[in-house]
Amino acid sequence: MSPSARILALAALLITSPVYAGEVEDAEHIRLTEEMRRLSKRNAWKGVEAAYIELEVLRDKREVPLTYEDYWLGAQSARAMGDINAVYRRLKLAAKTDGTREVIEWLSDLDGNYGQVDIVSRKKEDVTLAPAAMPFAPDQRAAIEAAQAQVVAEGKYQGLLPKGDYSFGPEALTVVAGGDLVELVLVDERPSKEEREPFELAYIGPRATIGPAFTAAGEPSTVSWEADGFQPHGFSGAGARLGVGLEAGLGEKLGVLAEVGYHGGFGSAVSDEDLNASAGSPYELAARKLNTGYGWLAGELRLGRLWLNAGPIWSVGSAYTSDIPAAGEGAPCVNCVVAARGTIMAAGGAGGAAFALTDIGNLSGALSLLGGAQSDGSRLYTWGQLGFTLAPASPKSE
Amino acid sequence: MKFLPMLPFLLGTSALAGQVHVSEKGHAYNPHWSPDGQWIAFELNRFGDAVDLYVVKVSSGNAAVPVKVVIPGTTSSFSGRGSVVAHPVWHPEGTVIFEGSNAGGTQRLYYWAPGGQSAAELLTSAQIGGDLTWPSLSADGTTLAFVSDSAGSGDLFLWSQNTNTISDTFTSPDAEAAPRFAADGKTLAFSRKNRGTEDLFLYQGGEVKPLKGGNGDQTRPMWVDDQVVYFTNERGEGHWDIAVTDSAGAQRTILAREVRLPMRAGPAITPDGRSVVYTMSDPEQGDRLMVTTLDGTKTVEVPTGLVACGEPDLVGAGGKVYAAFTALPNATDDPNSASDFRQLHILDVTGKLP
Repeated sequence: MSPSARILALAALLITSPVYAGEVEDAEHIRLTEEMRRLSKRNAWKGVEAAYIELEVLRDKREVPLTYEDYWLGAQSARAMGDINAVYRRLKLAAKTDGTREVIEWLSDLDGNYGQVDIVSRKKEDVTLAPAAMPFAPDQRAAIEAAQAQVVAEGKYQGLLPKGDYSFGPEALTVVAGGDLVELVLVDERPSKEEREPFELAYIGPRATIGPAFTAAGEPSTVSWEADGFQPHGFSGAGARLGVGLEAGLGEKLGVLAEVGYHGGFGSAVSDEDLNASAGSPYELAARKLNTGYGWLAGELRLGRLWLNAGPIWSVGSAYTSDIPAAGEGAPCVNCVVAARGTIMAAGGAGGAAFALTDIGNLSGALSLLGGAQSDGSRLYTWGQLGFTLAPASPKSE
Repeated sequence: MKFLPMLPFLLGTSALAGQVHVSEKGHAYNPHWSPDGQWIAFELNRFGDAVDLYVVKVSSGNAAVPVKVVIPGTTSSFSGRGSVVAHPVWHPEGTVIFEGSNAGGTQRLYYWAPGGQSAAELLTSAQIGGDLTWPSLSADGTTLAFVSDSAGSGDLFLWSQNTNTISDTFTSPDAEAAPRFAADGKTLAFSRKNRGTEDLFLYQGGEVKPLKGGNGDQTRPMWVDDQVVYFTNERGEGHWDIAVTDSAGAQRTILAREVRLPMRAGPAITPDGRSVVYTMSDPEQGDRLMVTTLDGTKTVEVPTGLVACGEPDLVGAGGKVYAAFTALPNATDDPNSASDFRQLHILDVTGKLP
């Protein structure tokens, strides 16, 4: 049976039976001690350590008192495993059981050759613990190697280390035998306020975009021809967008921009066929129109010549449309053309991509493809634009 | 008035050296001083099936109570019989390295520091298997040479403290033993079984070169600058001499004849590196330490007041020179001692060396 299986079996026995130290526990204690003794003669310390851990389970769960010899062999197995902190704990327990010369000498030896450290790295990169020189004594080497392994795995070590000089990442530390606890925390360096260079924009300058656009006002949630709440059918049409603003680079790649401008859409008027079919025209009949002004804030990522941007947009303006209402839509007439004019306030998001083609002084000229989606609460307005953008040129790379 | 004529006799023959008392019965062998002269590690052969290792604190030539070094599985609290703990060598930092094995187990290398933790395996079986013997350290202690039979009959391996790695030196079908580092920490002198006898070789720059062969055994080399001092029995079995040769093996001088061969140690060198110290195989001359300069021009005798002296090792400490050696008490002069066992003794030999 493997050591781990034996521990599980022992744990199962302890869970399922009442807690008291009886003959079974005593017999198990004797068996484990004999096994430790036998294995120690062959320097089979892994086996000794496994048996000792079983003994600790017996002690903690079944109140079986361990003997001096148990602790003594346990200290030796911990030493072979490189767990110097366990060595110290077990020797202390051995000394409480029987303060022999050998255990007192060993404890004195540890006090005279080891010191307590508490080292932690909170740096992003991995750090290592390295002694200035590896000591001769194998137990000291094993203790250092165990601490090094823990530093690699967890970035920290707390416990005993052989006296001497070490490096922990970029820092040096000296462990003094029996001295004060050596504490060291590594953190990523942040320059002080004085050391920090004043913030400077990578670039800043005017920005302008112009180009044809196509806008589609979607169907409203409910079509209504009521006088106090016109919500005509959806419409769409080509138009143009023109914006001017300011763009600044927070870094070589990241920038922000603010733009205001005009967004217009123009559709066809009611067709002649529909007009003839209508019975009258109480409203002005003209082509469908959309005239809004917008404000756009966006962040921009510049990947060389390719610029990607996105951000919130808000528009306000007016729209004019005409339509032939269907029956049951509450229109003031039937089979007639109804024209509707109203205001629009729509918010949403806009973004796009631009490819810088040329530099014009401190500006770059780019072919841009923009799009957006906005809502006024009743319908969605989507649009797209192919344009030409002038914006501050990116700083030249060294 | 009858007492007075006896006084010069007692002064002249009683033991001059301090004895290191060990409560357990057995013969003391193979003493080795720590580099700072504050400790001696030595073996106690309890016969039957066990050799113990003791370490004793020494201050101004006076020894404290020796401490028995035990390996895992044979602690003083629950000792097992049959363990062999022997062949100590000192690390410059004060740790003693030695061979150890439990009954029926493999011979491994252990380390222990006086007044410190319990002894532990120096090199794990995961690092290198087999029986590990003949530990030898470079002067700075960062490289350990030893012999392992993991690959056959016993090859030399090197362990680096800095990298904690083991490298083999070369492969050979013969058994190598007794490696010793030169002062450069890279060149090794060692002996190799060669057609039934031992010859000396050098391992230098990754190559093996013959150093000294001949009749009988040439063994246990010790470096003194660029010279190698060693034992040879070229005159026949049981007749051991001490010789010195240069590192090319060209010049060879016999420094002493009919010496007593130590249990495991090489020739003992004085701290100033000028002389070799030895004892004689002739029981009639077993009451003294012999010191011969390496140029062979001068030999002095240092009386001990003891008999059957052997296994000398010297150290310089506190401006003095001390010799550790094993000997039997002179039963003629000290009938109360009646000891059948060789004991460890310490003798101040300051000013007595050539």
